[in-house]
Amino acid sequence: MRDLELLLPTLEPPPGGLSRLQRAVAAKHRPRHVRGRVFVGAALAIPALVLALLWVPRYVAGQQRAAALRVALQQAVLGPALGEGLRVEHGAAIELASGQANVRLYLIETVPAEPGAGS
Amino acid sequence: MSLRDDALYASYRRLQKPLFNVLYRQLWQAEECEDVIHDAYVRVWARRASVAESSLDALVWTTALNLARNRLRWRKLWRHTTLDEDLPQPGPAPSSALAALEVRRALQRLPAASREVLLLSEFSGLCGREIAALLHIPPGTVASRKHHAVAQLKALLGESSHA
Repeated sequence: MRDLELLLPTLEPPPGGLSRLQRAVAAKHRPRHVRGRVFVGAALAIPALVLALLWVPRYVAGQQRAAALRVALQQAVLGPALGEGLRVEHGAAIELASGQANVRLYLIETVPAEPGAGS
Repeated sequence: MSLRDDALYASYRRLQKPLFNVLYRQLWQAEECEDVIHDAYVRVWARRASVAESSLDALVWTTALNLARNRLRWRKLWRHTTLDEDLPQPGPAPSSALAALEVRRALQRLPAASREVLLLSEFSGLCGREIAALLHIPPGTVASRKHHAVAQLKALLGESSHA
């Protein structure tokens, strides 16, 4: 096939093909177990994220409600000053409407002192 | 039986030149040939878990030829003709660019199946049986297609030289 060799001479491919392939392989090359871990991690992380997005607002709202209640209870327990040096210890007082100008009415609710608490 | 990267690179070194020569005579664009070779190896690498080193070269050949066929089909579909008329530096003969162009036109006029067999026989280094396995045709068909391709190529080149 001498004729064919003359008609179809062997051509040299452009240089740089192998290094291009090596770069591509290096970019794609990740061990299987690493890819597996990434996949499992992503599979677990996505539902966890969804649950977190659903749960966090409720949790925050609950926390805010609890904090507000705690503050309200604390204020109630400590009790406001009744004026003129009067204080309610271990209880709360609510001023009620009074029919007479020189009479003040308070509804006082006491909280039992915890055992072992200081006097 | 996962493929190692050094086996892939060794195959690339081994097949780069034959692949380029076969593909170039079909696509006639050096850059596109490089892309096809690159893509073929990247695709094989992507399936490395199921590729044995013993079948690596055959798989690369099959993948590269399929990619080249797809590109030719795509070109035909969009009636795309290449603007790149430059041949990479050929050997001493055919010496003139005109002769190279004649060979190119003659090859383009060959039936795709015959051209593929002819080019594989010339450049791949594969024997008739291996080419037959690669193209999923009987070995006898390889021989007959090659014979017809050579005769037709000579006739076409004879025509053009007389014209």
